[in-house]
Amino acid sequence: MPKNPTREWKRVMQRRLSWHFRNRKRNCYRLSLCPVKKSLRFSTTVRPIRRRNINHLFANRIAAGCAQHGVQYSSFMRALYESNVLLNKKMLAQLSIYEPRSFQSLCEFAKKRHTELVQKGLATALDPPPSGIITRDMIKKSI
Amino acid sequence: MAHNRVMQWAVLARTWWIYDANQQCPFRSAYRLTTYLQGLHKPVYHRHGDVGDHVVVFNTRHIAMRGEFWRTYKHFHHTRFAGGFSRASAYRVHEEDPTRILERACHNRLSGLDNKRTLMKRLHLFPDEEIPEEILENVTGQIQQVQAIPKKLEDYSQREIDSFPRLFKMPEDYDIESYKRENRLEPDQHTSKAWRLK
Repeated sequence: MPKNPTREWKRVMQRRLSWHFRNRKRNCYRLSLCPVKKSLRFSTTVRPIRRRNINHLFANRIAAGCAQHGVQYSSFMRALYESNVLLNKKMLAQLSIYEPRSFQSLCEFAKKRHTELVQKGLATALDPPPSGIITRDMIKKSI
Repeated sequence: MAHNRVMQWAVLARTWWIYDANQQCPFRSAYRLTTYLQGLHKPVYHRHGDVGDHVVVFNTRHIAMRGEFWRTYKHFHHTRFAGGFSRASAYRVHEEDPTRILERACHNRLSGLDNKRTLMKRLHLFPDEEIPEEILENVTGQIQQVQAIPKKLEDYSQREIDSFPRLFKMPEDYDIESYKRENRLEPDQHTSKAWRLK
C-alpha cells in the first residue's frame, strides 16, 4: 500500500494522459504537467476539424464509388434523401468499400429514379417545394 | 470488418492509366489526372494511404488553351537574387518544353499535399505519340478526355464545304481567304522585347 494513495492516483491519472508523448515527458511527472495541459487545449480546438476531415473522407469515398457507376455524388445523395433511404454517410462509405454490389444497386436506384422523373416531364419542376418556403401564391390564397 | 470472402486485393494494386492530351484543356485535364494520381477514384481512398495510380499522358504538344491564354497565361520564376524575377507566356514555355504546361498544371493542383513529389513521379508525360515500350506494356486502362475534339476546317473536304447551305452572299471586299495565308503574329506586349518571337 502506498503512503499517500491520493497522490499516487493523481500521478496515475496524469500518466494516462501522457503515455503517448516522447522522451522524459512521458514518464516524469513534473515534466509532463505542462505538455498535458497543452495537449488538452489542442484536443479542444482539433475536435471540430477532425469531425470535418472525417466527413470529407466519407464524401470522397462515396463519390469514388458513385463515379464507378456513372452517378454524381450530389445527385446520388439527393436521390437517397428524397426517397427516404435512411443510410448515413459513414454507412454508405463502408458499403462502397466492403459491399460493392449493394452500393451498385443503390446507384442503379438513383439512376432509375432520375429517368422516371425525366420521363414524367421536367424533372426539377415536378419536385414538391421543400418545407418552410413561402411563395407569392400561398400569400394570396391565405388573404 | 473485413472477411476473406470480400477481400479485394486488386483494389490495392497500382494500375497504369493512359490519357490522350490531343486538343484538351491542360487545366481541366490536370483536375482529372490528379484524381487518378491521388487515388480519389477508389472507394478505399485515404489521404495518407498510398493508393494512387500511374498516369501516362501523350500528345502533350497538342494541348489546347481557350481564349487568349497562350499569350496571357504566365509562368513565373524567381531566383531569389535581386532582379532575379522572370516570367514567360504559355506559348514560350510550350516551345521550350512541350510537357511543361501540363506538368505545372498538375503540380499546382496537388499543392498543399505532403506526398506531392511522389505523386508527380507517377505522372509520365510524352510530347508526341511515341511512348517507350516498357511503359506502354503496363497500361491497362484509359482515362476519358475532358472535351470533344472539334473538327477543323482543313478536315472537311472541298465538296462538303461547297455543298454547305449558303444563306447570303458575301460582299466582294470581304476577306474570306485570310485563313489560307501565313499567320502574322502580333507582338506579345507582355514579353520583353529581347524575348519576343522574331
